[in-house]
Amino acid sequence: MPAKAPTAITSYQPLDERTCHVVLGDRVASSGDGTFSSREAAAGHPVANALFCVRGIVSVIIHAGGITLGKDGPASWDDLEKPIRYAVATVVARRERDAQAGATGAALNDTQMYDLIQHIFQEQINPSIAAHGGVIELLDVQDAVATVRMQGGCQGCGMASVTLRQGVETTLRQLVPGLVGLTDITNHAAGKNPYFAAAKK
Amino acid sequence: MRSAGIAEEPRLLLVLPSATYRASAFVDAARRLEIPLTVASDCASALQAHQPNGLLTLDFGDLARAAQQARAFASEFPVAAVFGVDDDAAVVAANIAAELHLPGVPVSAARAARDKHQQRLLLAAAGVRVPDFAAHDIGEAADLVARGAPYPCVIKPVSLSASRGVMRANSPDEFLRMHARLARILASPDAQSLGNVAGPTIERRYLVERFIPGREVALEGLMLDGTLNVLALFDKPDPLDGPFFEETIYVTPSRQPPDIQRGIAEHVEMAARALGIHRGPVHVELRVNDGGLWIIELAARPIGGRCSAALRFGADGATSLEELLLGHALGRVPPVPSRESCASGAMMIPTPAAGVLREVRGVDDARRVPCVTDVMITAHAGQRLVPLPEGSRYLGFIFARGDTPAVVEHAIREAHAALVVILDADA
Repeated sequence: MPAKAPTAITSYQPLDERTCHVVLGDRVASSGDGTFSSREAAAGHPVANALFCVRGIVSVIIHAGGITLGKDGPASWDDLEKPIRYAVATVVARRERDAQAGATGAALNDTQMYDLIQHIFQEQINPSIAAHGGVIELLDVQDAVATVRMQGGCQGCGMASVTLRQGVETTLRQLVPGLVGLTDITNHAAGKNPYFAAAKK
Repeated sequence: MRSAGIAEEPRLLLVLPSATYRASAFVDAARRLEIPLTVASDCASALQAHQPNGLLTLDFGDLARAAQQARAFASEFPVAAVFGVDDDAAVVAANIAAELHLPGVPVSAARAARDKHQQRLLLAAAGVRVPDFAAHDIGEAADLVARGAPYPCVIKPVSLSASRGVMRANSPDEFLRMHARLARILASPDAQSLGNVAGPTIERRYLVERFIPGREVALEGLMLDGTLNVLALFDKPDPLDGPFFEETIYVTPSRQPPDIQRGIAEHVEMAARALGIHRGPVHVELRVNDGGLWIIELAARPIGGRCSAALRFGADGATSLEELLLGHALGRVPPVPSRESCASGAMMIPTPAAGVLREVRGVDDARRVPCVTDVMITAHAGQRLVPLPEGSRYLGFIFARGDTPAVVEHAIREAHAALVVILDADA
């Protein structure tokens, strides 16, 4: 198992309606300083580039004390906190992925893939799904196919397939090179507390 | 506003409510078709921030706002088509299609299909046979309405689906009892939450219509340029004579005579055109008796619950209903494939009584019945079960395939008989 990844953002502090200051963990902050006013300008800087993927972010200034973000549009800094944390965490996960691949000089084997997916579940997926009382457990990776089990609010949820396919699988395919598929072995009929219970419509 | 960065392949916007039975079938269909998919729902996904191009939240209660939300999304992630999976979602999808200038059912048609009163008016005006009807507000004096009702009559909320709130009354006294019950149903939070998806005051209105005796059938169809393509015609072998109208078994192909089946298709096509539905799915309930054919309901959406699993298309049965519909929504319109040649059926397992579900026994025995292909229990242990006319959830579904409709019907009944529902019944 890999060492637990650093928390990507250690401080998130809105300064006013248009400006927010964030402090990154050590491994994330080592990308170099810069001032960026568009995604195109940030193309060579992974963290800045990822932050421009958050809708509403219009400027990114990376400096020794952290990152100062500028925004436009109706979304509040509270609204943007999760996407911003996710954007930075994605950069961390990609680095983790690259480190795994680089260590062997080849595509990830099942064990490396398991470790990377486990890391992504711990750092990104499950903290978000916890908001709906759910959790997704990685059971195995065999021949680049990950097997998972959904629990809590996800088990039996009417939207479980949407969460799994549109959320989890898409995220993993972006971050885990060589992943062939995702198999859900959840017994959804046994779910006792689904977050969304289906109804006749 | 973020500038357009990476070129995005146009996506299909699948509009579905968070409380749906159909998410899995549609998501799986999109995967098989390799369609870039965005699921747009009324409640935020826990992973929306992770996949902003694959997950979207829309305000189903405010159609204009939902259309604007979709426009903002489409400005960033191009949308090629929009598809609504249920009654409310079909109205939301029609508004979005209009906003984005995409092919779709006209908003007026989607609304007419959603509002049973408006639907009756348009169908009657077009010469489509429907039961005699009158619309009322639930606040009107019930005794006056009861005096003028044609007996036996059916009272039916304008807005609710799947037989919810639909009751038969044989006399003014029965009418008053049913009316009081309907008033409670319409006051329930989920009936009230329809908002302006269904139109102002829709949650207060109901129809009183003459009861039409006879057998009921359901037609699953796809409108292409104003022409109906019949995907399946289901018989409903259990009599639906009231006092409530719980749908149970659907079996296809229909055992109605060929001339009746042709007449059904003609009626449905005329009805869909009368509402302005020239493309997309239709699900239509009809009554058949010696007096002819009667349209009971027409919805601009596919069959509900998990029942679509009973339908497979193409010579090898490899294509699902959802694949067919999503392909059509994207303009992939090859000749509509025929349904597979075998008989097929589904049962919406009736809720036996009000109470808290403990367990359903005998599921494995039910699955072992010859010709039964699946038994799904969709209610969960600890869930409160509410039968019709108040209930809005299914206990589960039974599916069977066989050589003939009679074999399929028998298998479904045998499987159902094997199930034992254990619940703590309400006192």
